[in-house]
Amino acid sequence: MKIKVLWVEDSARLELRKLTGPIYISGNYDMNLAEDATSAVRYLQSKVYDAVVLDMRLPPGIDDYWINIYRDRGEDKADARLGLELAGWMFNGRSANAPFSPPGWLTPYHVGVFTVENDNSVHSKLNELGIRVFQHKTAGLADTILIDIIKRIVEQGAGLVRAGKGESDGNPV
Amino acid sequence: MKETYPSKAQFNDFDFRELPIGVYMTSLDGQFIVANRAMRQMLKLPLAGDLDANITQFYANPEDREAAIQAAVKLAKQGKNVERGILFLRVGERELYVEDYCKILQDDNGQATGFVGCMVDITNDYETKQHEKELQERVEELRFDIGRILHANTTTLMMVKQTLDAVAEAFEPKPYRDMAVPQAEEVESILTEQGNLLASAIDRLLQSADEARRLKALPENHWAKLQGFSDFLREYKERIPTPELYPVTLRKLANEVGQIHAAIAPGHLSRESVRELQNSAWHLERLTNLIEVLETRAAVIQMDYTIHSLREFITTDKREDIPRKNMSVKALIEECARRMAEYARSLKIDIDHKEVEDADVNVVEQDMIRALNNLLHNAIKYSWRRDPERTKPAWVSVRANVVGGQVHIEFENWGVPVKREEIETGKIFELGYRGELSKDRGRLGTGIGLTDARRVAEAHGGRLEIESHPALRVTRNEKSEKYYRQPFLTKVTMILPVAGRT
Repeated sequence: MKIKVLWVEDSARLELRKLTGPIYISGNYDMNLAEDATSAVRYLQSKVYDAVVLDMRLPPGIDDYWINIYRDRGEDKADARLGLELAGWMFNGRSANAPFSPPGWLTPYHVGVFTVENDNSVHSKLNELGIRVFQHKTAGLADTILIDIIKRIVEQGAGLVRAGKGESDGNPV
Repeated sequence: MKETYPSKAQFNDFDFRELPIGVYMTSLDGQFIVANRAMRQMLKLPLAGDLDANITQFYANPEDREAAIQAAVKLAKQGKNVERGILFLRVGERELYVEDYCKILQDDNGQATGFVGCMVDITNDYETKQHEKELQERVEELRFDIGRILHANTTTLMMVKQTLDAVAEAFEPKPYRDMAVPQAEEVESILTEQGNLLASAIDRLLQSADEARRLKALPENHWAKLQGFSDFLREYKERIPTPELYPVTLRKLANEVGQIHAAIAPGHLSRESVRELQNSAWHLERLTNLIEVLETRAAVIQMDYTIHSLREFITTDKREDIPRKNMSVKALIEECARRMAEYARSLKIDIDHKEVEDADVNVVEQDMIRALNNLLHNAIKYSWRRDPERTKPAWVSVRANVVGGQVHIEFENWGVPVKREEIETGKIFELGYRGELSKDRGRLGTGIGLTDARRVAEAHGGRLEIESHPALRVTRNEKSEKYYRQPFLTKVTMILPVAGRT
């Protein structure tokens, strides 16, 4: 059975398009692409994924909730960090004043972050949310990096299942 | 007669020690003889009683004291007072900047004996000004550095573009007529053709030998992979949901087929079938690489323009004043079209500038060309192909017409919308602001083009107007998801006074 992947990334059609080739031709993945926060929420609410790969700098899409956050933060993807906001919604959705709820199946172990952001504040917030898979975007990465990230997320989930718990196994991936 | 207030008598009787600024008298060596309350507060001295303090002890740099005395004595000899001398003092841990106004005191023989004066604490103001000065110097340094770096990057980009040109030229025979990024339909058609050829080559190789010979030539997993690739190639449009990703995906596939081909052990398979596999994979990889090279080349040309325009903008007010001159609008538009020709060609977009009513405008040539270039560049950058069959290239229209002593220069394109709210709030003109939809398909930009164009228009006594509305009226409902996904007709108009009629 194919691994279901949601890649939340607004540069997937252009700058990062070379990363998609290995995914498609491997035949092992069923990948959806969400290019903004609104689309990401819609995909997450309509389907169960094995892995969600999340960028930090995202445009809001058409939903007012994301547009308002984006505007409040100066309408700049780097400042708005909607990916981080999206991760917050995934795991604190009901307390984040979002008018829509995160899906029940989603845990921090389904999510990996793939971003150019590499500062301490991002890391500490991801840690707080329990997201352990992190990959810094740099020019020198192989075109199979996306597959590597997905594998790390899936293996992390499998490790949890093997350990028979739904909580952290204490071994950051 | 009743006294009116304030009265001259009040002034004559006024105790100047009550002034809310520091008032003092010192001996020539700086020993305080008198200091009012404000002065004592400023220097943290006892607020009442005699003083045993010397102004010199408060100088942050004691040697400044001697210089200040020398300057005061010199001024006294000229019959002048010290006006607004800035002293840098230190009171405890606190640094203090004060403005000092003082008069030198002399004895009956005309010898200097001391000073009487007043001081005002200007520390906050002084520090702010110092900070501003430092910031300004830093900005100048940064501007210089940015200009230099941008220049260096422009040179690198030229090298990259020339290399990409050479690489694209090396793809012979070329499947495309020119160096422009091929249209999506063209790409699909040629990928389908080459993809089918490779799929057939894989199928023939699979059928060219029995299983035993096949397994001597390649391990089983390679054959499974080849079979999977053949299936993928025949239905690649269904397997790859995003058309922009067709070339990169098929390039990767062709490359993997090439690697499998390289692993084939000789002597077990039909030589023709092996060669056909190699050739088909090579053709598909070559073709997809060419598409990538052309797209990257177009992105480099775009980036080159962005960097050039940023550099121009940063260094604009550093240049000396350039005199204005009368120039023909037609000539200005033609110059812009000439400068944008390569960029437009790389994206297969035509510049239509036939409808130009000529008039002279009085302009700073460099600034006006930069501003008009920005508008034309935006029009090209944000264009989509507009005919439903998508067979013709896209085009942008540049028009000019004279209306009541003003010339209206219009740049119209069909494609990426500008949101109504962005126009109404003026956000679209803010420096550094990029339209919410402007990143469509990764379009690069700095957010300075419209700001700069408007600034230039206004500096020439003109203005800039912008309008953007759905071109096909797919939906008029602004809340609909489709609303900003449909093509918009966007027109930016620079309105300038005709020369001599300002």
